[in-house]
Amino acid sequence: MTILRKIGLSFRYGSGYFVVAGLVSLCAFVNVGINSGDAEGLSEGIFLCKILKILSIPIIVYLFKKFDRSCAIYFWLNLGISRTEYYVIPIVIEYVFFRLLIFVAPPLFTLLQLN
Amino acid sequence: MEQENENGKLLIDSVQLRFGDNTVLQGAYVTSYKGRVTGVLGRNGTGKSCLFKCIMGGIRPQNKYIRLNDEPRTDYGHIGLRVKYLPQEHFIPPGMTLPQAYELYGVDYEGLVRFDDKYDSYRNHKVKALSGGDRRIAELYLILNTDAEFCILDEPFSNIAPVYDEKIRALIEEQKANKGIIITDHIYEEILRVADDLFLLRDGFTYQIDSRADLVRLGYIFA
Repeated sequence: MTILRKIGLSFRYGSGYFVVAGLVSLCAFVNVGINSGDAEGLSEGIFLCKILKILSIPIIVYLFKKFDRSCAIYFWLNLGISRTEYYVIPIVIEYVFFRLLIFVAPPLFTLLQLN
Repeated sequence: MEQENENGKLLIDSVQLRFGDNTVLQGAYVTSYKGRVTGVLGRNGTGKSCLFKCIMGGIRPQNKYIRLNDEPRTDYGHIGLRVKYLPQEHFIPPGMTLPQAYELYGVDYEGLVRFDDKYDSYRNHKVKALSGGDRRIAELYLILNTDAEFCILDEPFSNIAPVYDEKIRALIEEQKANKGIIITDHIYEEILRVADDLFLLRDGFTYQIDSRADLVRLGYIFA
């Protein structure tokens, strides 16, 4: 199974994680964007968001594992995804999305303020 | 006991599993051969399901050794490509339809409709809308009809109406020509009927069973 197929499948089984972690990323995006006018505030804001994001990942994963008592994981393991990939792929994809949001937030909000 | 050649062999050995102070498995082993049904018996809590979950990688044991066809390197991490597992509980995601699940596994849904024509009307139903028994049969049929080299069936006869028992036994007999099947159930008479080889899990260890008298001697059934 190719990595692209595994990523595609992760959007099916990890939809709950993507929604919750995506909300955290959107909050970080807004926070960084609001602070984008002040250079010192911006660097502090980005640092804080990264820390909070990294801390939030194990908490969200733990909560999903805690409340999901079904055997659905075996549906995906049967397809050839390893247990590690099952958890890591959605985390990595969502973290890339978060970094992208943080990267585009300052120029985007500056553009909006100019308009 | 008659055994097949090494090409088409799944060996699970030295499985040790502890949860805190509770030792569940301490040296369990099971061997399965293509073309044969291997029954695994054991009382409640003896670690049958844990053993299967260890094989599939859902539980990380303290130690395990898995080897397929005596290959020098067996890829444990992606064993699902070659070994399919039917867990005790429902495993098809509830928001999925049966044809979607069958498509992902590369199994023809029409085969299930031929197995039982009531599934023709379930095409557009989400799995969560089906009864527990209907779900179970669809899941069992799915696992048995994949092109996997081995199938592990955890309590396939549970929660299924007696009218299906004969059909399921026939399906297992048909599919064992293409794969090795490991099966466990508390309806042990069914296991005795379909199994070619038998193992009993007790106190964390595996015992090979050659006759009904062994089951009595090991305290699994009364004389």
